[in-house]
Amino acid sequence: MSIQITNLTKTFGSFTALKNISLTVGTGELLALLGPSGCGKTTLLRIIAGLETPDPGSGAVIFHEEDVTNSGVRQRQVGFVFQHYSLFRHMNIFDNIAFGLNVRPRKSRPSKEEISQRVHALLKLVQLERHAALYPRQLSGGQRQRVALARSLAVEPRILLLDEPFGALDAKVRKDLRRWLRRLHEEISITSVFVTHDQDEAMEVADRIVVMNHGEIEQIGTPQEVYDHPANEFVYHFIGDVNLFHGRLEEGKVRIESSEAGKEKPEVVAYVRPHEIELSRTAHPEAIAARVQHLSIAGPVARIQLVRLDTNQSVEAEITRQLYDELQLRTGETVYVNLRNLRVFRPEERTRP
Amino acid sequence: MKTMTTASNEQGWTARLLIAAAVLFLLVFLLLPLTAVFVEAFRKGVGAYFKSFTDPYARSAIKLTLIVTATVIPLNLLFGITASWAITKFEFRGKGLLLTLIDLPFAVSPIVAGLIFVLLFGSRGWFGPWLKAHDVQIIFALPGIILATLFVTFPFVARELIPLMQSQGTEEEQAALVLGAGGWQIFRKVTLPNIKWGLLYGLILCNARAIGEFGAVSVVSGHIRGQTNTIPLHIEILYNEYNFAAAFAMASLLTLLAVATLAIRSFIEWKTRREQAAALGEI
Ligand SMILES: Nc1ncnc2c1ncn2[C@@H]1O[C@H](COP(=O)(O)OP(=O)(O)OP(=O)(O)O)[C@@H](O)[C@H]1O
Ligand SMILES: [Mg+2]
Repeated sequence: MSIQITNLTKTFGSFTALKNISLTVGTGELLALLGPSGCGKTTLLRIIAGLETPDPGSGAVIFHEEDVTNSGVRQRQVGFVFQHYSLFRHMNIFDNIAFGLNVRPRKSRPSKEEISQRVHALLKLVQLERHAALYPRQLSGGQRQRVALARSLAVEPRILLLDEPFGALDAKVRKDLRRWLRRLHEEISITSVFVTHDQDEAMEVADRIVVMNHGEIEQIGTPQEVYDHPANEFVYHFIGDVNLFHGRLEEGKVRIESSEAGKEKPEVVAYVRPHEIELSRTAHPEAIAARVQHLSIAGPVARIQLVRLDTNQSVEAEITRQLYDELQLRTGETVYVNLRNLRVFRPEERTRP
Repeated sequence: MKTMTTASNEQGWTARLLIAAAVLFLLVFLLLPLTAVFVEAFRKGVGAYFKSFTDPYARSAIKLTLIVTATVIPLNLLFGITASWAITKFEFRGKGLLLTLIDLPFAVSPIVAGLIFVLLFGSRGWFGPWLKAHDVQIIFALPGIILATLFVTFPFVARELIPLMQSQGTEEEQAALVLGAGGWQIFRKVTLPNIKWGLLYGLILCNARAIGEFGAVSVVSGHIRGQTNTIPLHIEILYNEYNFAAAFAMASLLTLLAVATLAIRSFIEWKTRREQAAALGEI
């Protein structure tokens, strides 16, 4: 089941939460909506589910050639996992998962045994087989999240929508659960959209990422496309750590200069990711001299805080452990910074206010 | 160390004084009158006490009170749930006005409430001539008493439910909706179990008030013996006729109902506290 959204706008009073959103989710795809808080991710997800209506006449939501823009929530048959679980607090886990089946009209309702079977299969899938009789309050956050997922899958939805499914969990559980979600998705292959404001999560789990800002889509692409070819400054900033360099454009090349020379050349801002910075002990004409201010070595990479000697600007570099061991850096000493992959955005790609 | 002991001693004295004052106050103003009710009721013996309930007027008063209460409670249940549901689960214009209106009966004196209905439905009231032409009696009859009681009791359920439902939000209902439940199923399986204790509590308060209401009912009743006298009105008549034993016997009935109400209320409070404590464990 594919999802197609065209020219969709949503306003709350005078505030525009979504501006002219167009987007396609392929059948069986796992798509991430990524963006800072308040950019409209939840609103978009709720519109897909039918819990919110787009502005009248502003656009369409289409599920595999069926226009559902004006259909109710129930007709859409989607699964929705809420940000705060919202399990039924007075029902045990079994009844929570069985709810969607139990409320079906008698004709289409499976028999008691079938329901029981299906619930137990789902409990197994989310690895909570021994928790069927417990109440939500007796489970941990991660367990509740998995119950919420099982509950939404029980009705065999056509589309699965997840709103920051791991938002309220600690880092370790998050990591485990997102791997688990990825595997689950490979297993059942249901068209899914999930919301997150954590770029690592989006990168790791999603087939494609939609980067949003202020109610608009900044870029759509695979994790690699978005990372390697960010469409604009905002995406570049949002998707990873960056260093910022002021320079001037000379014959199609950027010169990082602090001197007054070449004042008539256009000014530009260039970006470099920490891992695209090379450090060496030998000076050469293109390199920038900097002082090592702080070293942090955890795991396979070493993060190095540097301060440019000419402008006092701070620069962050990330080098492999191996290189770090070879260089034998000490805080306070001077090294030479070489920028490997400088990125400059054209004026129209600059961040919108 | 020394100063601390003195301080806590002083605190101990203050606490003891305050407690003693509170207990004394309760004894004088609550327990004493309550005891007096029962002492007076049994003054002429147990036989006379029970005999006062066999009096046809007494029976009719009890019956009328029960009919009124039995009508008012389901109506309040319906109204209270509808209003709280509308106010907490939907956004609409005039919500603030509706909230204020729900509080109106608490703000208005019961006498005024009674007079409103006389003004509307009395023989010289706005709809009086029309009602007379159609041979419908509201004032000085059962409908008037029910209307007046309804008016003074309808805030109880809604007032109890609105804060409760507001604190619970709508996420569980939305989850149920996405899972394919219909409106009635959502109410019965998701909303109702979450509000049942608050609802019961509101109904008990409403019940107590419906049984005991004097002012508003007194205005619209007309005090016709054996016909439009509720228990509180009947007590007043007996008392005015110096029939103290019978008056206090009836009063003891109301008192017992009040005590029972308080007992159920305490039970519910205990029960909700336990559920709340459990719910806190959830967060
Ligand atoms: N019912 C509503 N009424 C008014 N404004 C709303 C409503 N729902 C959302 N908004 C506004 O729309 C904007 C987008 O909200 P939304 O919940 O979609 O953000 P989000 O991207 O999910 O943020 P977060 O990551 O913090 O959950 C916010 O500025 C919010 O204040
Ligand atoms: Mg959100």
